[in-house]
Amino acid sequence: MKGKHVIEVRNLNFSYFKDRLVLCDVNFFVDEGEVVTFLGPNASGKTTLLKIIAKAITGFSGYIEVLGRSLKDFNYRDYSKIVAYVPQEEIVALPFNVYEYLLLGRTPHINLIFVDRKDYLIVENVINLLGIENLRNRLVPELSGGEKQLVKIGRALAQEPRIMLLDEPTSHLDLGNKVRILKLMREMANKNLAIIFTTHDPNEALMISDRVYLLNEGRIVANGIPDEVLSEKLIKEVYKVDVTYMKSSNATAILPVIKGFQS
Amino acid sequence: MNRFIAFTLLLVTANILLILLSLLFVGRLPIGLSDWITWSWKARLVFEVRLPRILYASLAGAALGVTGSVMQSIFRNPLASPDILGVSSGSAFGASLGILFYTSAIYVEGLSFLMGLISLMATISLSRIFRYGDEVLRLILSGIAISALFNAGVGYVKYVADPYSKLPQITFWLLGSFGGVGFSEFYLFSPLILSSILILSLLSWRINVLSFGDEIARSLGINPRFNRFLSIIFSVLSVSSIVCVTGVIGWLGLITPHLVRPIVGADNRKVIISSALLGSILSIISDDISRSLIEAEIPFNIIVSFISIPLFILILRGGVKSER
Amino acid sequence: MGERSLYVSIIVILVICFLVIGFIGFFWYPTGFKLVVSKTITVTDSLNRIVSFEALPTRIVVASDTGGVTIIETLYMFKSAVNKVVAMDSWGIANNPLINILDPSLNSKVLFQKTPTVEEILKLQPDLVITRSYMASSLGKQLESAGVKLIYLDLETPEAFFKSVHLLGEILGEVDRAVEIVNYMKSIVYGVSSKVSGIQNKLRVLFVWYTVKALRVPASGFIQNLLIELAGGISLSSNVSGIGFPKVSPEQIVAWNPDIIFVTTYSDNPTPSSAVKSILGDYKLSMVKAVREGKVYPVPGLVITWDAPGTRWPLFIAYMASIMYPDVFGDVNAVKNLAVSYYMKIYGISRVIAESLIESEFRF
Repeated sequence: MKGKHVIEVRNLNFSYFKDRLVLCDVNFFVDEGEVVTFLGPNASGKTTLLKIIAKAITGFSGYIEVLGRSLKDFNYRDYSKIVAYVPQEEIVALPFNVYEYLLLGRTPHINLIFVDRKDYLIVENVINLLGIENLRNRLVPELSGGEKQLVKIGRALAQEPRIMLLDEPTSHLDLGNKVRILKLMREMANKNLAIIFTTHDPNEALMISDRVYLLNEGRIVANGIPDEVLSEKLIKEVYKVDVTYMKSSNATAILPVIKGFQS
Repeated sequence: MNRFIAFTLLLVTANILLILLSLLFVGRLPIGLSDWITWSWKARLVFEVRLPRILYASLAGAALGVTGSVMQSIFRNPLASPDILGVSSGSAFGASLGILFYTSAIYVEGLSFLMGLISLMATISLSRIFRYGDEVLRLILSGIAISALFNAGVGYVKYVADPYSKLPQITFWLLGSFGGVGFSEFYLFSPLILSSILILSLLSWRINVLSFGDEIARSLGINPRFNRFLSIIFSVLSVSSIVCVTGVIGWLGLITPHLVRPIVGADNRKVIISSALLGSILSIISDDISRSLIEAEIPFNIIVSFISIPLFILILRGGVKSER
Repeated sequence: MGERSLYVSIIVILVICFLVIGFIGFFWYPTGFKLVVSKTITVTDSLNRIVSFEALPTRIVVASDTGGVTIIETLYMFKSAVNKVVAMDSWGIANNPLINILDPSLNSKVLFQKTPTVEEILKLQPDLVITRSYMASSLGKQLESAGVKLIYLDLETPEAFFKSVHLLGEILGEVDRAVEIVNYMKSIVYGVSSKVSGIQNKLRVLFVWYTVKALRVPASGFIQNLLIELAGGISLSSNVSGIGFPKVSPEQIVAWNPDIIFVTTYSDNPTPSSAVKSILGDYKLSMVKAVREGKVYPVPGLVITWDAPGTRWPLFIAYMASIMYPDVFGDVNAVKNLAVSYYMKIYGISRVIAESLIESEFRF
């Protein structure tokens, strides 16, 4: 741990309406260069948690500190220079091409309509980094799922953030694309970005995460390094399925027990 | 970028040429080069009759193109036009009242402008009462409601209006025409229209961002409500200024961005400028035809449709590849 | 930081636009095409505008959409007008025998199919354009800003009508003729009203505009109500609020229970006589006194009916009075004779022509 946390959250509570608490007494922290995962079943509150950190949702109670300042003290513009948010779903209403789309990531740094040479350079860098030169002039609405995901992350990278929040970045992706995205996140963390991503698949945490927070029904039921947190007992408790830990020489996985499925 | 600059220059040149030629030669009063050179009474008369009208048509076309692009981006709806928030219906209602009760054009224009703004306030207030959907959806829905309300009002005014005198006036006003534009209208309204065009151009990048939705906008550092509000205010101010003088001519605002996007792309910085220039061209041409083809004025919307639809088909049919 | 530069830019843009355009407007505001010479004739029109002429206008254009024909009929009471009018709206002209007779050169004149554009009118180089006040906000305004001499003429009430006749007299240089016409008309009206003033039980009269879809009555302030009163009747629709000719239900007519109903259709389809038949045969109205007694009468007139604002309303007063009180005024033939003299007097046509005109106007 190098000094203060990049993000620190204490006693976070949140509900959309008065009746039901969506998040209850959440505490966590993230450091520079880490990959942290919010893991949990559907409707466990992990997406809501991410959106609160992204400042997309307001009205929480509790303490959130980002880079030493309270979240509430930031205005949108300054915050977006630090934190980039990659949503799960996005509707692209206008036919932007990939280059224009990536350029939109420079918005926090652009004054009104004046785009600099620097902004164009950074977009070029992102294109190189992600290896998407072939997509430069393609229209975003016409891209495949995996390409769209890459491009979304590209836009987030163009923001030059210190922290990146990704909401279920691998959903709807095939195996190849899934691994590609996971690898990318690990690489970004290795370059000192703080990465938080949500998922419901414990294997993803096993693959790239430094730490995992396991959520269930709005509470954090466990946290720590994946090997410790992702025990068969805890997974069964949260997902209500029997699982088994499989280790081979070059991979580890949590698999559901399929005894009794086949005749 | 080079292609865009060339396109823009082409449009600017076309605009200047059009304005000049329309002023000099297009109109019912036959006038030749010799008249212009000697500055005969004909020349002076035509100059004073045509100039404000042509300039206003140009400005109005530009403003409609701009606000059309803005509305389509903000409301993420390719069918959006400047009318979407009920402004045109409110203006129509105000004008009908003015025609019904007063004789002077000042009342007609004044009431029309006023009602246009009132209808915007009504739409915004109504959207705050709704609890359904996000802010954009609420605005659209209340725009529909307020439009329906004021359209009903116009219907009622038409019902009670004297069928031989007032009703034809109202009907003609509703179809739209630049006939009522004189120097006073031009000086009165063009600062507002011009500044709205410039201000919306300044906001064009943010409008790009708004088209992705409020969540993404916030994540990129744009305050969606504030920027949306600004865009709407200046759009409505310019549209009201136009409609109160000319009648309901929103169609040009709907179609111009669609004519422009296949050529320059979706980036609103380019779309807004190009829509302004193309809108101006279409507007001047349509107005030229509407005041010169036959002895009477042909309603503006009819001519715009006739011109724009073939253009629409031409551009969307191909020739311009979807990848840029 | 971005917001501050935005605010500043917005304010700067607004200020510059308003200043620049205001500046231009201040220095260059054209006054239009106005002759700045000695004014010898000054008149006040129906909208209380003061219009001055250097000389009597000789090229008059009438442009008032459907209201133009009434202006023409009023103008043509003056002999000199016919040759001075160079263009008019076509509505109601082609099938108008009166105007065709008075104006033999009609074919060589410009007839506007629809309201013309400003330039179209300018082409004709008029020194006067006459229109009705409801055109003020549209065509009127455009003509004014082009600097064309414009007069608004209103004919909606007897007072306005007389004022307009005097106005036309001044413009055409036939002031005495105007006085003659006005006095004559007033004498006819007085001739009726003086005889009916003593009548105790005035008849209750309803004026109806019949259309296939509904029955409409003139709202308060409309000329038909006044004409009925002048003819010695009580106009049942004179308190009806609204604008124009509001529709009334058959129930309302039964409630009013008029003694006499006058019907017009303002067109030849349906014809007034078929409208009368329709009303008499309408079971919903069978309780009405006028219907029971068969006292439903059509309004005479061809293109312009006798009740409408124009030159025929004094005749309508006489017509209604003769139907309401035949023992005082005589029958319809007396009215026809009066009408013949009337047309001869105000239009200067021969007896033969006047008689055939009247015949056609009584062809319901």
